[in-house]
Amino acid sequence: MFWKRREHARQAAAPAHSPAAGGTARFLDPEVLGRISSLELLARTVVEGFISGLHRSPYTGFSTEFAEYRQYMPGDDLRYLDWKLLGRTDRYYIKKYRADTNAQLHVLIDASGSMRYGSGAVSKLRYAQFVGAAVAYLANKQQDAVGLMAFDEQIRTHIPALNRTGHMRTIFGHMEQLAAGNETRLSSMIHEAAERITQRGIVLLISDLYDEPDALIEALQHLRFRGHDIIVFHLLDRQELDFNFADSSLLEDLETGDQIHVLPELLGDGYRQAINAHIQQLREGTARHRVDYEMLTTDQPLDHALQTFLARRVRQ
Amino acid sequence: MSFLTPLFWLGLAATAVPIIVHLVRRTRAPRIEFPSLMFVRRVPQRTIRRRRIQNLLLLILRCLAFFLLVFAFVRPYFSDGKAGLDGASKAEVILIDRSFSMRMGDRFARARARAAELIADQSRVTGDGTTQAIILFDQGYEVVSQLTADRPLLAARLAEIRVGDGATNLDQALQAAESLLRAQPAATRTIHLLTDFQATGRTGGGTTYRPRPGIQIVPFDVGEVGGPNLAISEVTGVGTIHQPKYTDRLTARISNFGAELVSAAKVEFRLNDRPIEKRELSLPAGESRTLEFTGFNLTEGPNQASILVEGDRFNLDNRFEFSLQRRARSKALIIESATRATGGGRDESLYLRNALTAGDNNPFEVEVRTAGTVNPADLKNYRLVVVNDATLSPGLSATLIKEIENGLCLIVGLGPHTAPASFNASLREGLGVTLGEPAGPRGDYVTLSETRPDHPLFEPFRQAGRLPTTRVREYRLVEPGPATAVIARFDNGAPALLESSRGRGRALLITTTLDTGWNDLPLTPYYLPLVRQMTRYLIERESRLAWTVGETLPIERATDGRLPDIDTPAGKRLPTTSNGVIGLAEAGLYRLRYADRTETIAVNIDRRESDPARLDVASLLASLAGAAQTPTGQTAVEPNPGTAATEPAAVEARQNFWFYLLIAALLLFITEGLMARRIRMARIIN
Repeated sequence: MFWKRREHARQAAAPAHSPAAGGTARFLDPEVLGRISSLELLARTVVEGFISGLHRSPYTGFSTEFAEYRQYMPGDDLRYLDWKLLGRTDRYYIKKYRADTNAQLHVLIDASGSMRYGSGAVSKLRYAQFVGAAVAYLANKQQDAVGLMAFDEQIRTHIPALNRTGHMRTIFGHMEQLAAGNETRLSSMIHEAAERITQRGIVLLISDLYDEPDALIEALQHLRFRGHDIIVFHLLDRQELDFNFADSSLLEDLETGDQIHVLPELLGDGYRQAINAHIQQLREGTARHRVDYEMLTTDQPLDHALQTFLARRVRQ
Repeated sequence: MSFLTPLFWLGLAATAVPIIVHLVRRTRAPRIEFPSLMFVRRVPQRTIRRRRIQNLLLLILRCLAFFLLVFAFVRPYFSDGKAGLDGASKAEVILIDRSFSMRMGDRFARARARAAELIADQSRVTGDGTTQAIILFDQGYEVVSQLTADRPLLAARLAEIRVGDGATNLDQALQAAESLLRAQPAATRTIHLLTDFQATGRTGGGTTYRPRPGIQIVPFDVGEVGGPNLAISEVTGVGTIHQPKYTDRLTARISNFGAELVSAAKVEFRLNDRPIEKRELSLPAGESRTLEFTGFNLTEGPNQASILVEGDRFNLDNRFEFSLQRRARSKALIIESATRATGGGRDESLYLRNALTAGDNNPFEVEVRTAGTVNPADLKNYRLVVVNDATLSPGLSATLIKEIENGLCLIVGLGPHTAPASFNASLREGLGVTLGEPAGPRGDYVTLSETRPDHPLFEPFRQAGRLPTTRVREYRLVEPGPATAVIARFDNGAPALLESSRGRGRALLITTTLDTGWNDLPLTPYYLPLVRQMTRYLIERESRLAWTVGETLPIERATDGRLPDIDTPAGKRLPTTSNGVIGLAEAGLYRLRYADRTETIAVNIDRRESDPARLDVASLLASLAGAAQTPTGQTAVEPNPGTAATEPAAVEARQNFWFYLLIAALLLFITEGLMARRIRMARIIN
């Protein structure tokens, strides 16, 4: 039963490629979102658009008003059973009062130099801002405390998770001011984050994960050891996956400044093999350690990211 | 190696452009910011390196092909070893006049000294590859030394040269020198002309010399405006007489080629080294006088005569040697028809006999006999046999043919008494003539209208401008054999006079009578000279008074067919060519030593060499194409524009390297294209 409930939850968190998302997708399209200057407004737009999409989608079974759902477990007070949801979904969920959430969301945004890259409408960092803001907004609507940490080779910004009036404005403000920095020491930063974040909660890591998979997994393990639930958004640009350069190019590393003259027609296949292998390693590694891993590309609408978050939130 | 069109090397600089563009383009490949080169670095670098190597090889192939293309267009060539076309090599011909006129003063010595200077000058200049040749010339030329850089050899050959007695043919000599130079590729080609520039040197006949572009003619004049020069221009007269006294007129023409009057020139006629007569004459400048000598006696056999003149400084041409012959009369036999003899009446051989015996200096003792009374064995006693319309017995005919082979001369007159059947049976094969029936226009006549223009028999008539005219009422039809020549025809085309040779003898056959039976020839003034010419043509050897240096003398064989030994005027034994002729290169007396006698041939210099008139050197060179004065005062024939280009072009055209370079470039381009395509295909597969 519990397996079924989890399975349902996973299905519910699956990407919503629904026809009903036509109008909603417009608000979740990064290219569209890029025109919204205020991150807070953007986050609100995204979330509410997402929510409205959720209401119309047959695959959703949630209401963000009762975001603090949890699966029914034997012994729970049946007074808090959501009967309407049961009638709709044949699933047992217990409503929790806002005061009962006590969830903390720690948004970790990789603001290293590599996040500056963008072949399309938005850069990875910008996309990360969208996602971070939207998720923070969503979490805040559920009365979760939201914190923010941004880093490159060192922690640039750390705002502890709070649920206070005006705190979100601070979060958005810092998030808005994020700029791509220097080199990444991702694994080290994750370790440091694990040390700094004392309150257990959800750690949402938004990064392009340019580090050795083993080191990354180990760092994530550190976070897990601290009792956090981890969601990793592996954020990449489409070009980073496809490597669709047509001509001889001089590639310059955004973080180190190193340059390599490449012949894409010769290099492409090898590159794609390498990055896919890296992604596969990360998938397997995170799965082994019960870390939610999701690949995002900057040309995707944000709903996928939000749904992933929600699914994870529900499990907690 | 040299290059015909070196400007094309500029095209080679253009090959650097694609290389530069290639390199520049490489370094300016679009810089693209990429998040991380982490995965780029994981791609094996050797793939990239291999591509570079392959590209480099392609680049090399392309550059090499382009280079060969440019190399072909610059038209490379290799100069010949001995005389390169780099402008530093020279070829020179030293053309030395050795004609008789060079004996005047020290002309020849100065010419030889100048030649020695030219050779010595080159001996002092080392390493420039100049080759020199020496050619001697008179009416002909002799290559003493081919083009060589061996100065000692040239000097040795030069020391051996001697002046000659020949005339001058300047054009032929220059042509020979140019031919020698043309065979030797060189940047500069020079003919050093060492001569006295005698005017008669360009009137010797033959083609006029026109130098080809690139030949420089440098004259060296050894002549000078000379004083008076007396010379014996010509001696004419009858060369052979048959009686002791020379009753004909022997004439000698004395010329004054100088510019001054010779008031007391002494002329002496000598015979067999004894003075016969002396004369003295006054000769204005540029004029000639003729002296006649007659009434002197000759000894039997050859008599050596000479005319000498004194009165000038150059006396080498003041003597004219010649030969006079006194021979016994030859025996001639007239065989006439027995029918005539017995028929009574007039003597049909009257005219013929008179013609053969007319004059004091007639060469024959004539005997007339009928055909039936001639013993065949007697024929060998005669020099000439005339068959005057007679039918001969087979035995007599056979003996006659045999004696012709031994040198007997025969004249046959055909008439009514010559039986065709008998003639054809016994004489047709020997004489090469088939006899037919009598013919002739009834009531009319034919005349002699066509003669061989080059036949010596008709020479006197040609000079007179008239052919012998006679009215012929009848004649025999004849058919000549392949070896028999028709030398005269009647106006209706029928043969009138035929000639055939057999062994050492010859025969003349006239198809009408030698008397008045069928024609009126004996009654015309032409009869006597015609008969005399026929006999002279058949019998008399060419008894010229004298020959001229440069002529060719045919040597008469002895009765046994052998050729005599020949001694030159200098006393050297001269080899005779197999065809029995010798070239007369020296002035003086050649002696032909037969077993039973010695004949003397007098050879004199070409009298044109006595004429000191000179060519204007400047005019001469100007008459040669493109003459121009050089700053040094020497006259050079300027090459036509573009000569420097044509000579190297000729060498380059012979070598044709450009063709092979183009082929190589084409092959490289093909190879490069195939290789590039293969790389592209490999890339697609990978």
